[in-house]
Amino acid sequence: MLTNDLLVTRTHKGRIEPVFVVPQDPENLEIASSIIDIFLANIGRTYGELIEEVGGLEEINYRLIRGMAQILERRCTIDKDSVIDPIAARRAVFEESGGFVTCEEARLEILDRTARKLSIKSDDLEKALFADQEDNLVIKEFQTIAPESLLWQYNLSLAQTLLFKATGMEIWIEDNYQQVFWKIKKLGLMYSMQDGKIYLDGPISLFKLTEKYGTALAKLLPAIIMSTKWSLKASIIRKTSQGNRIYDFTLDHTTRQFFGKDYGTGSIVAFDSSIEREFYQLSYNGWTVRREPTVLKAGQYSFIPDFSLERGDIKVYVEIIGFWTPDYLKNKIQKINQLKEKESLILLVNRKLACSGSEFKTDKVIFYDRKIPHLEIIKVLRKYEEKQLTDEVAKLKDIEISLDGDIGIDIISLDEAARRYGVSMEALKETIKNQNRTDYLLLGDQLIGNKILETLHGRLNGVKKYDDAVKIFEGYGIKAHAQVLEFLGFRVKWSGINPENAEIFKA
Amino acid sequence: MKLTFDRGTILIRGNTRVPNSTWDERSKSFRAMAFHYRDIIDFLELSGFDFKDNVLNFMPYPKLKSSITLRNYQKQAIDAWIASGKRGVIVLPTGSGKTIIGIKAISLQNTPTIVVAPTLDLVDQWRSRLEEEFNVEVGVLGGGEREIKALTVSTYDSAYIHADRLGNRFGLIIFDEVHHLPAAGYRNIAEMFASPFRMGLTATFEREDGLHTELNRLVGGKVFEMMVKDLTGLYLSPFRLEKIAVELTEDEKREYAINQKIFSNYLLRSNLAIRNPLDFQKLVMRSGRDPQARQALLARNKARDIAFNSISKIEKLSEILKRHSDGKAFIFTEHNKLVHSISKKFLIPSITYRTTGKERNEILNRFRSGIYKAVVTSKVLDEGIDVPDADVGIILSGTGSERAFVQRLGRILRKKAGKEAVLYEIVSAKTSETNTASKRKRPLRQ
Repeated sequence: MLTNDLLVTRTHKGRIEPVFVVPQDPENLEIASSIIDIFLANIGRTYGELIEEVGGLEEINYRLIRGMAQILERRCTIDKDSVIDPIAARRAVFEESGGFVTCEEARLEILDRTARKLSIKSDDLEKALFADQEDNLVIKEFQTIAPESLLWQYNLSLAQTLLFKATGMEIWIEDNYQQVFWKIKKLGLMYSMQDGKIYLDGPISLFKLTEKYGTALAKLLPAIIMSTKWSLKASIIRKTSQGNRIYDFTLDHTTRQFFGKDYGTGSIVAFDSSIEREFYQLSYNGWTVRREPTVLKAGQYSFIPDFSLERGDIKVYVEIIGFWTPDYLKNKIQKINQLKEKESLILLVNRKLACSGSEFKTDKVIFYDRKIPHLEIIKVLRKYEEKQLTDEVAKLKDIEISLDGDIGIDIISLDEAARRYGVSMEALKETIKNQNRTDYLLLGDQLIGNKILETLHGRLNGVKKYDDAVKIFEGYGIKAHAQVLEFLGFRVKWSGINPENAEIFKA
Repeated sequence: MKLTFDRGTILIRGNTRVPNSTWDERSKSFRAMAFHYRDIIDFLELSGFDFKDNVLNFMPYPKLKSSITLRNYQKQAIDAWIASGKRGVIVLPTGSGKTIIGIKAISLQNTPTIVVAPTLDLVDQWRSRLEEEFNVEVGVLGGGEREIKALTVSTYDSAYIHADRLGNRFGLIIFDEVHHLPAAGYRNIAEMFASPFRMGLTATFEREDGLHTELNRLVGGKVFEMMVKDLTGLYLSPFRLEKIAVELTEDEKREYAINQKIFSNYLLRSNLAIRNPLDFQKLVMRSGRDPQARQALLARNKARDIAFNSISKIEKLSEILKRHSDGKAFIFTEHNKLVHSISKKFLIPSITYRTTGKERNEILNRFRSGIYKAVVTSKVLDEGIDVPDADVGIILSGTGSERAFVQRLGRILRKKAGKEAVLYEIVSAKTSETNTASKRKRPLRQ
């Protein structure tokens, strides 16, 4: 973050943006290395000398130069350099002078006398007298940085400095919810959510446009841009000659190249516990596990579940609870009951970590002892699978299943049709089975027309090799080779494992 | 209905909207700015609503009692404040004991109190006065300290930053140098504190930008005022003002003319005129994108530097010091650079905004006891800090701010039997500074 006078922006039609430097631009890299070089060259010299030399570069673009210098100064250790403590030196000298001197001889006389008392050289005393003045401080250390990193940091600081003047900000993030919400809370911001967008300001924003939360919004920026995909839109107050004006400041992940490779990684946060890691590493019958998948709204609170298990359109959220008391669980469940998604949430609770003994009963909770109760979770998931199947079959029952769109096509892939109806393949299969269709036959994941089956039967006549049969099937786009063969009354005779040697024969 | 404090606001859970509140969809409740607290409670009590008030949250505190005695005008001031419902601003010249009035208000109200003051020096000074008077430990916010006690002193900056946390911890809030409060950011302090009782203290109620009208809303308007001339001779010592114009040296004159010309040429070329601070601000803003404007600005600063820091002034200072070799002199100057060169040349202890509280107190104590006969300082002592009596004041440079001048006068206007204070003002002749100096003395003509 920079001081406000170093902010460089461009405004156009009610929009405002920081003038970022392109970190890959050779010219910028050169400017950055020259200023870094000045800092390196001034280690051991005074702060005043450093500032003067940096000032020499200001002709290039003084706000860029000073901005980068501000960032670099934070990497310096600056301290006084004198043979005795300057405060003690002053006390001794002023005491000796008693009031004031009005001629140079008297002045030197007093300095000499004091120096003798302190057993140091008169010159050293005079130097020590104001060694703690800013200009006289000495650069003791400087932690250097790559030119490109300096430009990255400069850009981030620029965006943050602009946000100081923000009255509010709307953000969207694809991941990294946990860190972002933790920070929102810590920074004392308030939010409201709509359509996946999070609007941020503070308690008094309700009453007036205020920059009071600008600093907090600026501090949130690094967490936002840590997400793999993100966008933000902030309202910025600007003083103009016509009074205060509000500008829009928008930014998204396509500007990634300005901020460097440390950002946009989606943040790899360590697991809170080994049990979470264990949960993440297990597999769940074709369900996909995601960490901190989203943020859910529970009344006025937000809720970020530890994991989601996803299969097609079904999402089941999982929250793992460590130490607990019945009251804590009760509160947690109360909070969860305010969720729209409450039906699809599982709490995993370690029975041994109960802080007080009493039992707790609810169907949302799976207790476990030491390890993730894998089987029980699968069982619960199966219930979701079954429930989904029943729901979908019920849904399809009310609809006339029509394959009309596919007339003239002899082979219909069910996955496509299932997508069209918005159901799982299982549900569609189940429905088709129930419909007892005569024109098509369900083999594997495909519906195959009777006509084509007849044709196939004819073409297989005289075919001996399994491989040749497969080639014929593939010509039609049939996938369930074995099922079709079986339906047509063929068997396969295997010799060894090589399919090239396999033969088919009529049973 | 239930009222609670939430980060500088009051949450009202219930089905009735109270005055000054707004529905907040985020928290699903009504919400009002904290400073409406007293009005809301008054309304609820008057209308006979049943409500639970959990807004104020005081820490346990001892009885806050002080037996300080007031001068007549101080008593009038506090009576006026009480008559206005224990809200409002008291305007008194520097050196007339504003701190004492604050102490009296705390003692009368006997409630946890926060005092907000603009500088670390003032914070320090309030702390030691309060500790002395009430014999309790006083909390401090600012300058690296962060401790909250029943009596707490804070800088404006820290109070602004922590208002969300502290707004319900104090029954009384006292703003020292309250003319700082109307600034856009600081205003939030008054708005985010629920404290039902409020006091503002200042020597200069009016602001050049006219924003002092905000104080009516934030603290409760001006309830008492007394001017410098009302007090002079009565409680403060009379003073003599001596203005001395010095010529720049030939080198300085040449250098001054060159720089002044760069500046005025730019104004002429771009058809600009500097009539007021706003015009100047425009130029500063312009200098951000226009390198020529920046150059003009730098040249102007250089010219001012030359005028302010002229060698002739140093020589004149030497002369005055010789004349008062048995007196106690306070030397004021705008620039730290000049403070340091005077300190070095005359071997006079110096105080700048960077001087630590410890060293500063040591210097002032030694000045008081006579070990040191002179002190040179930059604007750091403008406001409030308890300065030992001096009989010679020397202004070496300064801006055209009326406020700064009044405060500086106050440094030496302390009553002492038979004492006549002298205030010297050394300005450079035939520079833009002569202008500044006449603007500076405006309050004295009232």
